[in-house]
Amino acid sequence: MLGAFYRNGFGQTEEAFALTRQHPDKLIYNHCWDPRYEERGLDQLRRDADRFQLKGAKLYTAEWHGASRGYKLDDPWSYRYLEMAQELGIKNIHVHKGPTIRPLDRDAFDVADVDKAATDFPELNFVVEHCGLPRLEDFCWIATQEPNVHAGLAVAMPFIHTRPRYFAQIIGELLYWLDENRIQFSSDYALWTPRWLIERFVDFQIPEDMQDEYAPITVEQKKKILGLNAAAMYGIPVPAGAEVPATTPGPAASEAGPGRGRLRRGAAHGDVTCPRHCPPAPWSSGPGRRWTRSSTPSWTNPSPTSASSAPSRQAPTAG
Amino acid sequence: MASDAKDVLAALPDAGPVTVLLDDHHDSDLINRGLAADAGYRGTFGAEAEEGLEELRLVFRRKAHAAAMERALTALLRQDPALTEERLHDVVLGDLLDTAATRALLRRRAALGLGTAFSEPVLVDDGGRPFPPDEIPLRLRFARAVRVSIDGNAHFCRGLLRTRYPESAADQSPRATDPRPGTLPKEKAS
Repeated sequence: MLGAFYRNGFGQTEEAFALTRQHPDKLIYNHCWDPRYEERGLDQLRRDADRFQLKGAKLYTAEWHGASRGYKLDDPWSYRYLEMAQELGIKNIHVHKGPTIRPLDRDAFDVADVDKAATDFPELNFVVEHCGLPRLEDFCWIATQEPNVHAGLAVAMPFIHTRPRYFAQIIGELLYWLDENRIQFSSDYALWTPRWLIERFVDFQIPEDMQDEYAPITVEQKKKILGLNAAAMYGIPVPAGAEVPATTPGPAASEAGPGRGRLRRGAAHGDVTCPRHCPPAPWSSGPGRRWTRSSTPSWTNPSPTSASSAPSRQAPTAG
Repeated sequence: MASDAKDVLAALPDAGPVTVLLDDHHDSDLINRGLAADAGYRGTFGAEAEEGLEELRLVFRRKAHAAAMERALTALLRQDPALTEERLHDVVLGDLLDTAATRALLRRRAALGLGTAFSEPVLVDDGGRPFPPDEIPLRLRFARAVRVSIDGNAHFCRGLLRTRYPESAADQSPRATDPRPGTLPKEKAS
């Protein structure tokens, strides 16, 4: 993984896998693949899935490979790999879509390919790491349409320290466009020991003077974001007492704050938004876009990975 | 960006010859040679650049317009509690308050080639076309997401700049997320 940029690659498969075996109650090993290895890589993926008992993978579409400066999730070979992932039960596809740094190509981080793949592989979950920043709006637009698209908060999370008011905007936008069941905490653990980040988020609240734009964040929403959503996605048991009530308060409840709502999705227009009445995506030119896949807004439609079905112990994921 | 800075400086009234130098960057020498020769992005980076920056500049101009539009309209909504989002369809440039946000919107419109007359509708797409009334709340909401998203770039870059050059903090103008005058941020209270 990222072999063009690191002497030993960015992911240390053997070390990471060994660590998960030492701490099976805390860690899950996620793998990676590169569709540009074509048939050979597919064979390898089959063997790896068997050896590692894979449930998830992390993909870097901006990765270089020979003369290639990146690939798209909707490339024909990408689809072959996603088909195999679906067949092998590797359900959780984490995709790195975040800030561009030289020499990576800007276009490799475009999120439009997630849209197509998510539609064509409804059994897979697509977790967009870094939630597309700085193309948050493109990501949000897609995630509103596609119930199997999730937000990973890596790199967005630490704004809570340096720019807490900006973090409030990001989390406010995500809670508006997605819902609380499809947002996942990420630690960026490769950069630091993330305890401080978790504690900051537990204590976090939308600043009072911003609450006319964004509803206050609830304890249950925080629980879901910090662990229950990932636990549900990976089938990790949740400790007794840590669950949230089965009748999960959806986004509607999160907006029920008194005297608010003029600037938020409210009764005035809550039912006329996506996807049935959705206008074409802002970046889409020409006809042929489909907006009819699901007939109800995704936020009324509890995701199949809803935390309510989660059993009883939780662990973060690695890889 | 460096050549954009040079263009802006050169366009100032009475500007003489303009020299822009990029200091302390891993590609300083390469970029400074390109700047001196007015070589443009492709001329500077050669094989590393697959295309010029015009398309990217247009993307930024469109996003800047959407963000400025949302700022101006949200300010109007705050100022006039009787105004509903649905009625933003009828708001024209002449209805906006004379504020920095409005003046920024006019500049962004001009940069995109959109009209700036008082009678022009405010809530429009990248081509200046008004949205159907039933799409207004969603479009305003999307413009806000654009604004928040593009502001992320500024936060990233300002943070990096301050880390490397602490004295740069004094030069940074407030962001839209800074507390509004007369309000107290509460996030520190926890």
